[in-house]
Amino acid sequence: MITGKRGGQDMGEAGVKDDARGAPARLGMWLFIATEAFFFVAPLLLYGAYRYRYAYDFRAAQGGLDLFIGAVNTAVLLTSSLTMALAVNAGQRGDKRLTAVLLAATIILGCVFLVNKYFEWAAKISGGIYPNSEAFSGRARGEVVFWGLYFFITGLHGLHVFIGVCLLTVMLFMRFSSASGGRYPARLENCGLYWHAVDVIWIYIFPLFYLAG
Amino acid sequence: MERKVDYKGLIIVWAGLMLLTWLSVGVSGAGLAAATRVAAALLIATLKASLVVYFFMRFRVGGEIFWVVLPVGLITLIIVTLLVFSDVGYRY
Repeated sequence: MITGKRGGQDMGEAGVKDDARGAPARLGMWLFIATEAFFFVAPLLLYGAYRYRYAYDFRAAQGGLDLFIGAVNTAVLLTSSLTMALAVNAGQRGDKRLTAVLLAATIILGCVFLVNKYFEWAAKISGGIYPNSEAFSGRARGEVVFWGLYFFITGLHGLHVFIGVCLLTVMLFMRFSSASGGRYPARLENCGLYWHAVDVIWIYIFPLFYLAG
Repeated sequence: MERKVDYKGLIIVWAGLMLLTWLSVGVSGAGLAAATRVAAALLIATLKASLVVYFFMRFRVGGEIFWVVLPVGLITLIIVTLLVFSDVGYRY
């Protein structure tokens, strides 16, 4: 790895030129990610508290989730994190074509995740499992709480994935515009940080909902 | 000046993440006690998250301030979690 100064500019890691916006922008993004962490920890703590209260009902309700789809979604999101990290690397090297290809791959994988989530939710909703469903009237209270938390937390996460896909699509088009021409690697890196944060959130959602039964 | 891009390292980390995912799915079906299953799953999740934060998010690049931001955030989360569960444990 190459570090130190070159021609008065801080080269950072791997000999990459760090623009003046880099460090403050990165700090700002990390602070935002910290707020996102608190934003998701709150409903996950709620899940933990209710799981403690309705342990049996939660385990029973978890049997209704498809572990295979959950595992596939985990693999898809982890792979999208890889392509995003590779895209940031390529972007900092100045390889526009490879950056665009890897960004496109990340966007496609994000869409695959959302499509899987759509099929998963559709199966539940068509089976009468959705917030305020009449089918819940005969079920245990703990099961109703579980499904409410499931739709809320995975829906919130899915919204974040969708926002990430939109951000990355904008970045993909900016890469090809003559206006920016990829002059500010901090922008791409910060989008990458957001995407990885969304992945880290799913890394915790997956075991809590799909594996802890 | 030669530039070195760590593509291979990122792919190795990704392979490790896939392996840990497979391990966590395997542990969940291993017939262990419920509390052990949950603890093992969360431990593996924390390991995966650490790999993503350190290698993909390149946490090590950015200066000393980041070594304040992350621990302060984590400690706050841990305190909040402990307070919630001490209250929950008292209620139920």
